[in-house]
Amino acid sequence: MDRKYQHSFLILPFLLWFFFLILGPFCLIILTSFFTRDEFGQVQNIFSLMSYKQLLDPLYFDVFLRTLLLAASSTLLCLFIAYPFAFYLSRLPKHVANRWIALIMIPFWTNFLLRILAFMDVLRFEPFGITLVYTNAGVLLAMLYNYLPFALLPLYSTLEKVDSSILEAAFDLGASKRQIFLKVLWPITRSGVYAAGLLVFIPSLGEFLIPAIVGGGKNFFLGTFLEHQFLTSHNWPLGSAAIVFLVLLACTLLPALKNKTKEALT
Amino acid sequence: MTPNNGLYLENIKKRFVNAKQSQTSIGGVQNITLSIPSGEGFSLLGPSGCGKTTTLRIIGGFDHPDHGKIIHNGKNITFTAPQNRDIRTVFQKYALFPHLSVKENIVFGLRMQKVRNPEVENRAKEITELIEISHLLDRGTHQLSGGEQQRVALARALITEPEILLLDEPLSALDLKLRERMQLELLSLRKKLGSTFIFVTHDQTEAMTISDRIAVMNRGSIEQIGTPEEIYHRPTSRFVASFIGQANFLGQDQLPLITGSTEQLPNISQGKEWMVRPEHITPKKLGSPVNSGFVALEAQVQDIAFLGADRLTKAVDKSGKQYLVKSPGFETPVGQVTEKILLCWETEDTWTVNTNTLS
Repeated sequence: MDRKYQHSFLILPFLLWFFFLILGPFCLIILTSFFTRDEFGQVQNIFSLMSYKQLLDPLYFDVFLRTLLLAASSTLLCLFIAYPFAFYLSRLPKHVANRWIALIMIPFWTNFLLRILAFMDVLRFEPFGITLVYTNAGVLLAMLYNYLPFALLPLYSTLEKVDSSILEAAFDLGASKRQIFLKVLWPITRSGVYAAGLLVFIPSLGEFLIPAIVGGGKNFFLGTFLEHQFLTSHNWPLGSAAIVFLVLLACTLLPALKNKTKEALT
Repeated sequence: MTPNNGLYLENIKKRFVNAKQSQTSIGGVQNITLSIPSGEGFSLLGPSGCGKTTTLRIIGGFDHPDHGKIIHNGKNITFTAPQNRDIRTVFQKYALFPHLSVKENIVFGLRMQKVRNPEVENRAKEITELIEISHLLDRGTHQLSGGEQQRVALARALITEPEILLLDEPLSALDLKLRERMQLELLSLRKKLGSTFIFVTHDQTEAMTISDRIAVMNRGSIEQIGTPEEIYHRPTSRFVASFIGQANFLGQDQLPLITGSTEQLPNISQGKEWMVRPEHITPKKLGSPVNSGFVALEAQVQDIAFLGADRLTKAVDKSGKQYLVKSPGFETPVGQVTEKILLCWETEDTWTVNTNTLS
């Protein structure tokens, strides 16, 4: 056997997982999206583009827009908070930075649902007579709270690779602090920022629990919309079409960022 | 006295707060006083943690001293920003900007100074020709070899025409052959430009090759400042003697074992000892006559190593003390391993050093 392939069998479990649990079900979803349903919610094996036409309805279009807006704003906010902090961490001695990272990670060892419910109590606190519970702002805050580490950790690993002497060299050569950031630090770490952004943006698109619990389900986001189609309205074809649309959306983003991300992760 | 010309460091102190070792923190410096005239090649030499890099960073403006001041051409620059000093730094790992081409790296300083484009081009051309990297201009920095990166870093610093160039372990990342070539190139570059080069290095041969004067540092202080010859032949302390090359140390305890003109040996008081360089010792057959002006010591050969130009012999005297002898490689070895031989040297070649370091 070719020596290059002698360890090929090691990927067998992964292939099984990928084909049976990812690709297979996804094909079924694609198939379902082209079917229709009867009045009892049963999927009928009749080919139709009905669900996709329905998706174009302004009502659903709003859901997509709102979802995109939420995902984009939580991503930007996460990056905005995480980047300076990650930079600060990256300049600390390693053992000190590791302590900070532990502090960030420890809350994430508690159950996600528990964390959200606990966060609800934080949002209920009314110092100025306004409550953020069941508002879009509350949803955004909860997203921020949950997704910040996903931005922080990749940003930290990107920034940590930037040797301080590179920044000092720029300073020595006459760059102001602003110029050091714009001309040196940002161009070097930009790809890491894209990677971190993707890690927040893509899961944010499909986030279900936060809009459902913190938003009280008042406003449909893609996640809550899907749950509704599959479990309440029993419109599986429409839900499937929405998923296909979501995946396509994520896929169109990927190639544009793929190279940048690859740079950042290597 | 503060000279108006060149760089002057007065009583520089810097402590680093270190939670674990509150006593002597690594890398700090104490009472550094130095005067480096314009155009000199100067090296800060010492083991890691001796404070040589800290001293360089203080000169460069990246660290500020807790105490003392730095005067450059009569101007106090102790707290001046690095970019406002007439001093540039070449960093240890070159610190090239990975996102910029070689050309953009080199002209970075001029761009920051908003120098007009035609002049940028002219000066880039000039410096890249001087440093012989004109063919690399369009490359990315990751396509360069270690030696090329080194040259680009040099060009990037020199294009701003600083009066003083600081080089932090400039050659440590290069392999031996390239290192030796770059040492000579740096030397001729400095002579051509007439600027001051201050090196930090832990490599004594490098320091001796590229500098007019060397400051040997140990535990945050300067042990000795002098020309390479002074430092090598007339070290003040045991530390300097053993850091620069190899050395044999003998105390009063060895005196009874020594024969020959012992009365001509310099006097050593408490806290002093004799130092003899290995190449000053001649191995001789046991029983050979000891000429006047020479001393000798009987020792047993332990090990012989042939190094090409030299032959290194390790021998032990009766008290169990080990000696290192360096003789020309073309001579046949005097004694075989376990054989007893005579170690001879001229009393003139016996130098007195302080047993302890000065600090």
